[in-house]
Amino acid sequence: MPPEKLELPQGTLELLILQTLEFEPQHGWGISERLNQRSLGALQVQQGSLYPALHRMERRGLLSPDWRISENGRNAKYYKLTEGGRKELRQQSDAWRKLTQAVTLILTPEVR
Amino acid sequence: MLREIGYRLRALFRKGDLDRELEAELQYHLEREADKIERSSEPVVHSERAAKLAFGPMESVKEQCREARGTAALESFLADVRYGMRGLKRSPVFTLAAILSLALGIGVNSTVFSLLDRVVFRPLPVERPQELVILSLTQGGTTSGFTYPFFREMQSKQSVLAGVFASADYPVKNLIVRGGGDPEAATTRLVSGNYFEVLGIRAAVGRVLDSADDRPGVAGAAVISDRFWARRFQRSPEVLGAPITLNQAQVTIVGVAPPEFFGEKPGTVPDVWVPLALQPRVMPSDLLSARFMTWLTVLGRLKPGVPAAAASASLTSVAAEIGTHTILLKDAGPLTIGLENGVRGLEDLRREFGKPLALLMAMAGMVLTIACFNLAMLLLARGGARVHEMGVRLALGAGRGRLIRQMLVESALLSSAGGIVGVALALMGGGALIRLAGGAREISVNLVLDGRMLAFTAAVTIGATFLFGLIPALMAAAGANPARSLGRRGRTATAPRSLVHGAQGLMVLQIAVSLVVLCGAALLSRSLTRLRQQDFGIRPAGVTMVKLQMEFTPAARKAQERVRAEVIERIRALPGVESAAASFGGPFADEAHTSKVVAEGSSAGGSTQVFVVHASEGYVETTGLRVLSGRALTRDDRKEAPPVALVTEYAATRLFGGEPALGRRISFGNSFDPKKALEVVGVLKDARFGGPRDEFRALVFVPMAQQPAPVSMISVRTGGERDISREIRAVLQQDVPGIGLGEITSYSDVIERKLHSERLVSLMSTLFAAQVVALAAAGLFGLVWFTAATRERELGIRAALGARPADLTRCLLQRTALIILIGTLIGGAGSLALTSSIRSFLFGVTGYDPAAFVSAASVLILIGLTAASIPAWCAGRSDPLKTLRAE
Repeated sequence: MPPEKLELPQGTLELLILQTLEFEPQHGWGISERLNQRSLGALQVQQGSLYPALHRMERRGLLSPDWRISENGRNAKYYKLTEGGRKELRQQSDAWRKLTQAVTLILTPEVR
Repeated sequence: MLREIGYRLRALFRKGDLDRELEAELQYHLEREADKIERSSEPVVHSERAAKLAFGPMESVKEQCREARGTAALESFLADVRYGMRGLKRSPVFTLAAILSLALGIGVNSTVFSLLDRVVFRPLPVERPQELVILSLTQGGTTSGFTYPFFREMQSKQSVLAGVFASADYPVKNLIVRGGGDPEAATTRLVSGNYFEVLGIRAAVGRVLDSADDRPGVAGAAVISDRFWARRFQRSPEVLGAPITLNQAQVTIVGVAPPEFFGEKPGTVPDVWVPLALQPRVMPSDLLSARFMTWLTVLGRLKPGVPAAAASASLTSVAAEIGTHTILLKDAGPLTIGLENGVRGLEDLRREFGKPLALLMAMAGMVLTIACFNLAMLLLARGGARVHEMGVRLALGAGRGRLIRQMLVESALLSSAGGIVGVALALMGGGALIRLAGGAREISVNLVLDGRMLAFTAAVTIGATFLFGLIPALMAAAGANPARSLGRRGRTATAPRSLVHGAQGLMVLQIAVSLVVLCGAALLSRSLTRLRQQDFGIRPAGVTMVKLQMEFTPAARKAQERVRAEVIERIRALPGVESAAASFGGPFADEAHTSKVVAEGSSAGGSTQVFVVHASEGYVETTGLRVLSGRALTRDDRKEAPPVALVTEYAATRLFGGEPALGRRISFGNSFDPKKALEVVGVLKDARFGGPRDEFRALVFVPMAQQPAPVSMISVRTGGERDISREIRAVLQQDVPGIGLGEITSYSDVIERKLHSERLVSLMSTLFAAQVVALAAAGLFGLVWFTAATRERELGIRAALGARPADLTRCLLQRTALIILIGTLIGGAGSLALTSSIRSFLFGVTGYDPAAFVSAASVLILIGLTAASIPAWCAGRSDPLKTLRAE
């Protein structure tokens, strides 16, 4: 039985992509796989919806494209974090942490 | 940011590459996914299909990716541009004509705007010009300049202004420069030592003047203008420290002003700035201690945050403290000091050219409006073809909004091309136009491309785009009908009636506005003719004027005296010379001596302010003044002879009422002084004095031998228009070497020069008129051409039914004649209403001059009908069989 699938809140897909690319460049399919693995399949991300996000981020200069031979010997488009992308990652994950902390605080029942 | 622009540019121009890359990227994904599924524990038959399923809707993802590039709006705009270009290329004649007419229309607007901007709008090129104020001194209702003592005391006592400085080019504007070349006259401004400091101007080379230069007795220092540096010193850096003499003053050049700096008076570029302290050494009398000479112009800089009213009040109280011992009128009541906005400097040029340029701007605006009407009309008239095309595009699913946008893009293409060519025309032709009008001497402006001109041109271009593009776009889009366009006769169907009527309506409007412009131009050029052909009271034809520079050194005075007594005889002896005379002042001379004159034994009204001309014998004959009664000045009016004077009719009336003037006695001053009395021995016909448009003034002519004055000019009458300037120059250089010799020109030129603003207006409005007539001709030609094209079928059928070519031509022309007639009537009424507003520009013609109206209207009607009959004639003769075969 697969775990229950979760809808991704607006705008978080970008954060997840940035995080995925933090240590090494990756191609679209790889990113999709990584997201699936790391969330233990809990996230409901249609594979196709990844690409418009990737292209938007490329336009904004967060990612830079890099065509190279992939692990299966084919030419694939890899995405790499740019300086701007790293900065964005820091800001967004910071904001996310603060947000979730605050939300968690509110949701935690008060202990008397 | 840069990276994003780069990305978008690539997205725009390498669209195909990006699409292929996208395809490859997604393909790779699907392959890997299918691969993974195949290798998974549960084998699936259609692994590829399963991969596609997991991926989601492929085409939608692709579209979203393309949108993510952020260039969709731009791409459709570029598509519009490409489409528009193709359309325009298809009708090159129309396109070229449209661009040319817009370029001319926009070009004249840019030219006139540049002039207007320089003369009227532009702030002075100094630091924070908005803080500058012009000070004025009012006492007993009379506003005047400042005396030197008053200025100095005010300068030291005031604290409300951040700085206050004085400048003057009065009473002497040109000083003779010696050193570094031939003696020449240099336009000089005397300025207080803090002048440059308060204006915030630093020297381009060397240093500017400072207060230490402006102390009495110090060695003279001068700053020269960039233009003068180039002209006289070829921009040599050794100019610093170079000694020059200005009249009698030895000065050292300490610096060169920056090229863009011209002082506080737009349109003038002084050659030299020297400190006020030098005044007694360059002019005949010492004005520094004069308490009655209000010769200074004073400007100041407001402190930030201090309102002008507060500053004015504070300065007025300072003025009260200073008291009246430093100023002209002793008992005329308290002094007030007013402040006027000085952001644009002194207004002399604005006063002279402001209104004429505003008039030209209005006319240029009308010309462009006409060009736009013309284009809109042509776009509508050829709209027949467009309506069909639009119908097809509507049928293919384009929205009407998209169609309108498409047509506006086409209009924008036309107008931007027109704007670019227009600016080029303005830059190339504008300067030439001003020189042609002879205004270059008075308005020292160079038309250069600058931000303000570009911004104006851009705004005008955008405005024009909507003016000519919107109506045809809206009407064509509204008139388009997909059903009709796809119908069997789509291509040959006639244009909707609304388009034809729209085009005709616009043509009527165009003719009407054109007539207004034509009438204005006709009135203005008739007015110039009247100005030139009027009776000036002198006969300038055949008279040569020799200007001598005003210098007051003993040597210069001696040289002038020799000119009057001896050299004039040598000039008279030159071959071809009929008569010659020396004088100080005279009609249209720039210098004049004014005085009050009182008649002997007169009751009230027996005195008047007059211009006094000091002249040698032969002056009346040489200049062509007419003696009404009595005699002219003769050789016998020597120093020892009884003092005499000639008066003009107007002066005689003012002095003696209606009584005979001959034999009466007058004297200069406030009351009659029998010891200095002059006998009136001649009455002259009135002559214009300051300028060709001036009212007649009271003039008094006195013999130079009896009332000494410097010789400022020599008038020489030759038989016919002979150029004897070389001979005259030779005589003067030989007999009085070192005399400051000015220009030698014909008297007519001297007068003509005073007409520069009128000439500019007349020349420009004639140009506008030519443009407007050409546009009307092109418009009527096009209208009839397109009308004939859309009525081709009907005309063909009528020809086949036996109509003669002349009938068809007449049929086409009838409607056109009606359009011209209605347009002329509306335009005539409009002209009557509008020409009253240019009455102040007119001389010798009223705003309702029938000749001007009739000539303007007949030119328009004649040329319009001629232009219209060419296509009408052609259409009448076209082969009916050809048309019918198409059916």
